[in-house]
Amino acid sequence: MSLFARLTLNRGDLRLDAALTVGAGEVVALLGPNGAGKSTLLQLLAGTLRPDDGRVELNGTTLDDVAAGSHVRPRERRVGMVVQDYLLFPRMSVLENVAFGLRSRGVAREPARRRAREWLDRVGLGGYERRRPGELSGGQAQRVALARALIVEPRLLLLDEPLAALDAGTRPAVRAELRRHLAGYGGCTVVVTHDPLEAMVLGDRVVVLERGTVVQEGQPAEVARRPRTDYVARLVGLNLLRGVADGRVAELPTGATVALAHDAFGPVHVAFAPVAVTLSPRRPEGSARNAWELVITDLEAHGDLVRVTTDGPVSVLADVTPLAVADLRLEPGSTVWASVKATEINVYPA
Amino acid sequence: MSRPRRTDDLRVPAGLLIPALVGVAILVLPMLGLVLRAPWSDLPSILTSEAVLTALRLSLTTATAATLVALVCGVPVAWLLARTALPGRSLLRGVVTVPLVLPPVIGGVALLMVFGRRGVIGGWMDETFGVSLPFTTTAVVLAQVFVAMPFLIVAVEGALRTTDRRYEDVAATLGATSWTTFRRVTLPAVAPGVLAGAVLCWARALGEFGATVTFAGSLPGTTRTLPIEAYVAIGAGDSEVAIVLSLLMIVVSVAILVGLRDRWIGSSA
Repeated sequence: MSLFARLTLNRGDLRLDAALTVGAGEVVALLGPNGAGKSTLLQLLAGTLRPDDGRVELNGTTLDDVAAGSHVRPRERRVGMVVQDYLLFPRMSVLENVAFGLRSRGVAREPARRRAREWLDRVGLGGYERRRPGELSGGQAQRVALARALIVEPRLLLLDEPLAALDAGTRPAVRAELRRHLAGYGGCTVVVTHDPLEAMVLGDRVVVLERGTVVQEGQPAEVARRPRTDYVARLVGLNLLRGVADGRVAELPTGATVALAHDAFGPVHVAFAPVAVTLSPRRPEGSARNAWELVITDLEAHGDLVRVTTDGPVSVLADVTPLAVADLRLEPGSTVWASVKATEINVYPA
Repeated sequence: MSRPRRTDDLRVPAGLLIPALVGVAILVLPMLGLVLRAPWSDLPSILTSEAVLTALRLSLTTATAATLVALVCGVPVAWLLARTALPGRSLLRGVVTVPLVLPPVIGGVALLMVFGRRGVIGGWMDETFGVSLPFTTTAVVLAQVFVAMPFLIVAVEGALRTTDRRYEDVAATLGATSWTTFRRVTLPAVAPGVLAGAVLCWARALGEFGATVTFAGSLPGTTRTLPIEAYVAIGAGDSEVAIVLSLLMIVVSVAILVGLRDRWIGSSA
């Protein structure tokens, strides 16, 4: 079982041109900012939107092939969908919602209801059969939506921001449970999210979509360690610089240089954590060999640290303690030396 | 929430106040006149007279039948207008809503041209089946459908347009045919709109006069509905019957307005 999709669609401001592969049992987290085309891509996979061009293939069956003029309608695709606001049918009971897919496929009322009850038990909602969707909490509604989608045994499961509607208190528990259900599901799964934590926890693989294009994909740890765009770097909390390396030094477009711990050549990404940046009033001496004189543009509380935004020959974020802010009298407009040890810097080909 | 009362609240310029008063008078005085001139003591006997009861029964059954026809045919028309990308859809919407602004008498003439004994379809029906529509109760229903169904279509189309179509997408991914989706997802979602449209349609059918009298005539017991009975009564100089019938229809209209108040008027109150 696997999904292969290569799709283009121009709609309004969005120019979507993306390829996506999902293996059997694999969960791909589709990560991207608002308006990147994530939900549109899901709609294309679900068949509720038709692409301008491209192909979608699921387990060897062609679902879309614009060149050949073929399009399989949503109801024949065997694709399950769970969206942010769950869209449980408001005038049906929870049981009727879950049984809907089976009933629609011609299963008789009683067997359909029996199976729906089993699924409600499986998602921990036995006893909720007669409730109306309006009487459920967000987490419960999400589980009903998941059961409703999975009961028809879809080959592809699409989750569009499945946790976004939950409050912060319940999200971790629901996320962990969703993770468990996805692990037990044998088909292909695509989870759309703009939350990096969600992508890292739920995804076996992360695909980053920006402005309709896939800009990075890989294992969650790989993406977290080696961001390739400013958006991803910001999400995973790293400073990202681009330059051209020649041995132990990389030159940035501004002319500033970065000392590296290992040899590298050609265009590179240079990444380091804000906590690895040290701020000092004068040019530092010693092993921290990268030092730039920068101007502070912003100070912002960041957990129990203070995130300092700077600008100059390089633009870096530094996380320092409130004590350091007071000691150094940091404030927007003041000048400061920022330094990073070469060993704290991660260099990888661009 | 109560806002602080402004002191100049009641200072309405005469340029607005006088025309407003005239407008209200035009709307209220006729109804007031009916109430003042109503033969209250004879009211029970007039209301239970054979002619009035017959007309009332005919009006209720034909308006209800017309509403059922409008539901069966009008809801699908609304769905076509709201959910499909038919070529010429805006033309269809225009055609469908023309009866809203057309003088009903014109509607009656048009119906005669089609279903009359020499009409396009009526002539063929007469020759083939020996069936003639004009001046039958069926003609009354047809005239009412022609005039009243647009109200239902407009209401239901509006309701369809405001529902979240993603529910229908979800139903489709779950394997539902478009018919199942319509029946189990779309229709329940627009039920309040359908109900409101049906009530409005029924009220319009109940008050139908022009198209009915042109196409179906005024045969007691067969085509003489309440409004026609009232018109006949006033023509025969029997104003008391006309007044009673008018009051009856006003009561029905007001009851419907009150019933629908929360849907259309209540939101701003």
